[in-house]
Amino acid sequence: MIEDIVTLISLSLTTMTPLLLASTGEILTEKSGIVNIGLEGIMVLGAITSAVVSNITGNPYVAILVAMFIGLSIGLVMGYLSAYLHANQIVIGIGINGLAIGIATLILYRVWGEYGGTPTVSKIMEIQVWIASTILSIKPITIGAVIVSITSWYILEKTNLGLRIRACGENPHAAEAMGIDVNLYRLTLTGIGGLYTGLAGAFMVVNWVGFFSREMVAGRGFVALANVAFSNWNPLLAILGAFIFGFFEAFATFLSLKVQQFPLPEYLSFLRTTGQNLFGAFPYIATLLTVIVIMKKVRIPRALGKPYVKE
Amino acid sequence: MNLICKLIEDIKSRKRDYLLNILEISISITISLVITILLMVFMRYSVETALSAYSILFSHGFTNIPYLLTRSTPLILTALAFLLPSLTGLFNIGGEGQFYLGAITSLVIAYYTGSAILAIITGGLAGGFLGLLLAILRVYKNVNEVVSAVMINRALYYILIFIISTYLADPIIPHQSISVPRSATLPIMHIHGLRVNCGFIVALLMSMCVAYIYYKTNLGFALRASGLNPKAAALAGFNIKRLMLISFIIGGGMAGMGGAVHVLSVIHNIDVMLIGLYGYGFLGIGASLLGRNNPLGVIFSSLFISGLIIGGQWIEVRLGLPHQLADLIVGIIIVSLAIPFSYHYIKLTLKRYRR
Amino acid sequence: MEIRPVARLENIVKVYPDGVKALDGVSLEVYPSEILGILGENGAGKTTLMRIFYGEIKPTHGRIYINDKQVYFNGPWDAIRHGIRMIYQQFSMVETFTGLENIHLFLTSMEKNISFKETEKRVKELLKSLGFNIPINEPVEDLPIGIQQKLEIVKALVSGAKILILDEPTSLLNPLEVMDLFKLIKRLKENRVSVIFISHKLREVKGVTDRVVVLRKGKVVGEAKTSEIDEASLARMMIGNEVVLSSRRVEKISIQGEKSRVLILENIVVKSDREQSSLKDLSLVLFKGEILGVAGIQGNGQIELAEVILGLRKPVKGRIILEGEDITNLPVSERLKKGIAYIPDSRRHGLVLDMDILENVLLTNHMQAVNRFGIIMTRTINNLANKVIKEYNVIASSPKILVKHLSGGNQQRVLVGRELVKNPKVLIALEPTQGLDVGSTHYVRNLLINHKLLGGSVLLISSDLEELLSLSDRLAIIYCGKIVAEGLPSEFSIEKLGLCMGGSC
Repeated sequence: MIEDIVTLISLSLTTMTPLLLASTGEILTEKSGIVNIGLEGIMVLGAITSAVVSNITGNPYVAILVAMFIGLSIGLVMGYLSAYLHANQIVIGIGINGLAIGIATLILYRVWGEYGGTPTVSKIMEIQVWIASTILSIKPITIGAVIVSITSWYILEKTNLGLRIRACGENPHAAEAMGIDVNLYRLTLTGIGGLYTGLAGAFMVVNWVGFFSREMVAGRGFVALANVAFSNWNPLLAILGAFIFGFFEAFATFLSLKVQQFPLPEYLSFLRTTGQNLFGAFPYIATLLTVIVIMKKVRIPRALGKPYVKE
Repeated sequence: MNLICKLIEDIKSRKRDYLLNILEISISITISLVITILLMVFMRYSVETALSAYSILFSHGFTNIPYLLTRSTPLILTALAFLLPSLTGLFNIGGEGQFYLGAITSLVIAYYTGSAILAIITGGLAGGFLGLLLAILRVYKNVNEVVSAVMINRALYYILIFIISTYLADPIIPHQSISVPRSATLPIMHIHGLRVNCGFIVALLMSMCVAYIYYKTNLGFALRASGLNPKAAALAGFNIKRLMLISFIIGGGMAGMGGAVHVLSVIHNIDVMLIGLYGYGFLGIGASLLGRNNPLGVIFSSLFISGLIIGGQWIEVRLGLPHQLADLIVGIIIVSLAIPFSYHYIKLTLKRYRR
Repeated sequence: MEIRPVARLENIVKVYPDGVKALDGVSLEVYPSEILGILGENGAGKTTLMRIFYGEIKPTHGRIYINDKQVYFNGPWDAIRHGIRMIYQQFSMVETFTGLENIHLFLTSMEKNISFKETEKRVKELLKSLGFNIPINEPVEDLPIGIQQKLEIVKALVSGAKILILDEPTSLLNPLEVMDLFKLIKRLKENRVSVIFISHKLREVKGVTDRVVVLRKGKVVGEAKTSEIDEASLARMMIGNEVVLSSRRVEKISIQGEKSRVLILENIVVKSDREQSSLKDLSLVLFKGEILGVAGIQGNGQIELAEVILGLRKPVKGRIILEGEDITNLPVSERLKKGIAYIPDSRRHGLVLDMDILENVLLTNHMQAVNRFGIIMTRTINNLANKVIKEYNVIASSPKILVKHLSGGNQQRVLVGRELVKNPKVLIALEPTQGLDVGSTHYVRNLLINHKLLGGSVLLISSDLEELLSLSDRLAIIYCGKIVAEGLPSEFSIEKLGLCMGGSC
């Protein structure tokens, strides 16, 4: 029993990390007024970048840095297009998601000659704690993610900088009149959001599974978006939300393994074979239901998603 | 004759807008092709490889007309699926899931009734139902339709794999569903010596239906007005919520029909990994944007994008490069189309530098 | 000892790129601790002059001196750094933040690391020295406009303003709030702040300023100590010749008893985001064949009134009755069918600029031009559009011309024409002549009178008192979402109008 709980918590902490990183980044971006639905694509690119760099240099830490840089760059490009060129932010996000798979596959082929996935690359060590004959593994980036979230919350709510950022997302005209360069803030924060999300992608390769596969991000970018709304744009709540959504995924994996071990009545035996797919669907359905229930009580930044056009 | 005169008058007064649209489309396609080459070079592919890839793309992508028409059929329908809700300001990302559901529904109905028409209709209804679900969540529960669509798409993917492999598996051929019975398949017709798949005719018909609604009915007018000026549309008595729901029902229905037509006319069964159905939803979004959200324009943009995809497959066969190259080009086209009035902006920046 | 002016504008000339000369050699001095009034009509150049002074635009010629040193402003923040602050008519605060947060936000642009506690301390000290209190910890959007304006002034002072420019500050205030503002301005004098008070309202300028400068057609035409000049002289300088201080039209005696009631609003309650504009227990009667004018300062529920009759807003309580039929729960499309028509205050809201004239006419006439299958009857709508073009003098060669290619006056004619062509029972006209040239203004006003003479009814909601007084058969005054006074225009003196619009009658 204890072993199961420890395993679940261990797995949940891992699955929550990319969600938390991407959500926190997106909260910062959205508080400034830009909506970035290209998180999925940025994660993919962060992942493939970290795989390539880790493979070439053998050093996973450098891989993380490069992935963060890539995420930052993409974020800055999206921020520039959205803030200065008044582009349609949703459509840009759709485009980024699409082309990310294209780029990733091309790189995959160029470096490894494969189409589906890479062989293993160097990983970062994780912290392992023994509890009752099971390992509770805590990845360093997980801890980093929590720290980043708490810091982001502090900056947003308790500092002058945070007030200025929030002004951009609530009323950009007023913010501009108060001496804030709204477009610059939006550009920067979209870049920072991309940086966190790139790290999220790198985490998956270099601190979790240890290789890149084309389908690995599997919609996490969108779950992160759900978490942003769920947390009411509050990074502290995002930690809770990321854990909950991560738990859904962990639980589904856990269940799918458990049914292999436990004796099942005849009519449920399909769960061991084709029914495994149902476990795959579970996290998404659970996420959707959670969002539906919670959506009534949240407060969106007023100017979110609307391009700021100077009169 | 009178109709043509009116059409010409229509185009004349909107001449500037049409030219602008064509210019924007050309710019985005060009930008996309250029950036793709740059990216490939950056990824350490040689320039010759990139250029030969392009030559294959354009020489083989568009030359096999029957195949081109067949490939673009589902795309036209998924493009319509994105187009209609976009008029009300919403984004139907659920085209993929609506496509799948339409496909599997039509498969089941065709298998048990042997009727193609019934299968197409039920496929459309299934897709419409899914679209309505997205719209209800958005209108009444304020759930962002992009997030809900992706969640449903992904969940549906797994659920459908489960259903196919458990209940609809072909008893003889592994990894594949039961097949559409002969009586329900859509035939290939011969028009003017050209082999045209019946499915393409269906897609064309649907596109023209949507165009008729778009231009000639109150509903289409209401949709267009809401997209251009929601406040004015409200003053006119158009209920934006109702329009959102209707647009998603019809849009979802289009995608569902796309899935149905694809199964009935081309693949005739669904493989266990849904590979035969994969990707049309996303490409439909690109086709809709490239067709400037116009019901007749999406026919041409679907043909173009299908040509790119076919070309991509040829590149993979000839050069071994992954066919995702075509996805990349489409993705960049989408991004560059997101920038409004790119032509105006270029003009303004040039003016500023001249001063 | 001679007191040096704290600011001096010397020979300011401003010519716009299209050749319009807005300012023709204006020189001005601002002394410390004085309230300077700048008086002029629309187009006299007041706003242009202040925008130059505030650094928003650059003069074509001329110099600006602050404390006898010449300065060059490249933008508003240069002016701000010299202690100049502008308070606009549309306030520039983040509505969802509190007053204190807004002030703090502004200060962080000047002192990057100022702490919130420090801001709070300074604000509280300032309020104490000024002798009044305002809620600073509530979201700005929940506060009445008068308080918001005070917050703006506090924001300016706390950040070290030496010269405060108030551009038509009383346009959104009721008379009580105006008096409050004047009290505050006089306190500012004691705090060694100079105030520039821009206005076209003679009475106010006479009431609060120390000195007055009158602008006309871009030139200074007069300057005087306020105590040494009277309103009539100021008016003469402002307009250039003897002016009639009020405009009345020949009274028409309308016999109510005979006329039928076309529209009745009973105890309507409508919730709005602003407290001031929410309709509270509003009742109104509109008779057949009359123009009922609704007067009031913008923001007191006029838009809500128009929208609740049209059906865009649902009343929480109350009934709306059209010719004996309860239409309270009917949607907009049904009400349009039953004969209600609406001319919104903004062409941007009423017309779809990217569509052609035909489609814009179709917008509010689709009930007549669509058959029961939902298909648009092309011939019907073509005829209707051509009728609108012909009968309402829209200068366009074909109904297929996109509306955005028409001039403002022509667009308004489409907006008005497409409603009148239906011969509606009730026409709601919200600021129908706002921003129009003289010719179009007269044309539209005549259209309204004609509609009334043909038996239709017009609800004329306007902030233009001259328009209301000259067109209305009956007048009602709206204040804070209620009708506070009703009667014949002749029963309203200027004082009564002012008091009622300010809620004091």
